[in-house]
Amino acid sequence: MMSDEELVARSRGGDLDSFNQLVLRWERPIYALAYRVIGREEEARDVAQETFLRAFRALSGFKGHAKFSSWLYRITLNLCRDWIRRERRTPIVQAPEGIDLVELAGEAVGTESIDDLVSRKELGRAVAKAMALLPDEQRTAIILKEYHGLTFQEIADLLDCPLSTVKTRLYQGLTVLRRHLEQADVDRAERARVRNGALEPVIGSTNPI
Amino acid sequence: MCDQELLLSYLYDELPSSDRQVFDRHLATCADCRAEVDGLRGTRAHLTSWTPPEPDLGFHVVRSATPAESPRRWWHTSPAWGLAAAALLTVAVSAAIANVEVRVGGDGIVVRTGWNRDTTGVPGQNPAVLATSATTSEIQRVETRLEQLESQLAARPAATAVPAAMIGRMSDTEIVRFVRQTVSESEQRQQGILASQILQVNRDTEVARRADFDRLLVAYRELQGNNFQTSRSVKALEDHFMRVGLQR
Repeated sequence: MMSDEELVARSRGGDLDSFNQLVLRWERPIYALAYRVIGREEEARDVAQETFLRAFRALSGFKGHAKFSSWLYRITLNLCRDWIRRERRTPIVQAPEGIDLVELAGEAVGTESIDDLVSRKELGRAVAKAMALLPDEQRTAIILKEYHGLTFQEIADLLDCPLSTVKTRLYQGLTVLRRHLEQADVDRAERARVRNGALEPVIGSTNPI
Repeated sequence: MCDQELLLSYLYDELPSSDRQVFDRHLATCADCRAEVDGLRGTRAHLTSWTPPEPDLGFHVVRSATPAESPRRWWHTSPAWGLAAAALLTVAVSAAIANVEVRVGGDGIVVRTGWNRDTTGVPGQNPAVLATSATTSEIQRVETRLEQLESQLAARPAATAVPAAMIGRMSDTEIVRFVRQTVSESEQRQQGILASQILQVNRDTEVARRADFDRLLVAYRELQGNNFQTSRSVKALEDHFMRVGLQR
């Protein structure tokens, strides 16, 4: 398999197939990055599409100082920032309240039971909600670290900030997430208990209503 | 908490191995840092459960009409609903005109369509007769399957009625299990009913198709007969002119 750099070189020589291969290779990570940053599926798709359009137009300006993927990430993050600024909206999480068991069954991994699935789905939703509460720069640092596996240094380069700033943002973000998710854990345990038949909530439960 | 940056590098495995060993030794003695690392590891584990919805991507570069102008490209994406509608239409049309085979097994319902099954002809045989016999055998086969299916359905136990007193004796978990089982049995029945309905539609379609074919065949033969008559008349006319011409 050809490396990104080889494909970039060929693309610059006018080989569209090579560029299409790069798109195929990176469209999912780019979409996932945009989705997690702005929290909207349709808009994330647009951002991903626009990222590749811009990358293609600017291909001659790509000098290869950074990895091609970092270069794409930078374009995506700029587009996301523009979107958030333009829409003056904080990211929200589009998540339907109900859980469709049939749809869920299609996502089963290994020997997961339906309870495990519901639990995972609820947890995913709790994570999305907690992430949406973070300031943009903390959320972005966590997304790049957790879901894209960038090193602290790569994140610092991408966001044009000192290494220590990246670590601070990550630490603060993680601490806030931890607090929210531990509370969500308590809530989920409570819901699971109710779902499984213990119909009377315990008085003095930690679940605030 | 001692050194946050160090702890974070440890958490993300970005410490050189010597520093890592030093931090390991520190963890053994510092309960605060241990609790912090454990807590943040738990948070990180939670984060993996957030996955984006499955996207409809497939962006690709399309060669523009004027290849000389390299920046003039565009991306083409297919709207999901368009694809879905097209797929639905294809399924509907296929089901209406092709042979539909429905199989219900342990792995769910399998619907298969195809034009050419069992219609490979013997050379020299009259194609009309062949087509008719093929559709007849198709119908017979479908009917057999329908009967099999119906007997399978009949053989399945109906939802077991449970007296209220029995429910009273069941534990919560047992009730949940019982309800789940009943629901799943009901779903299986529904699938079976759906499948037999599809088979019924298929059978009706086959009958209609055969009737249409027969009508077409009759019309074609009529047309052939008419053509024969016409050509005979033309020939007679030509002969007549020829004779008249020779007489002059």
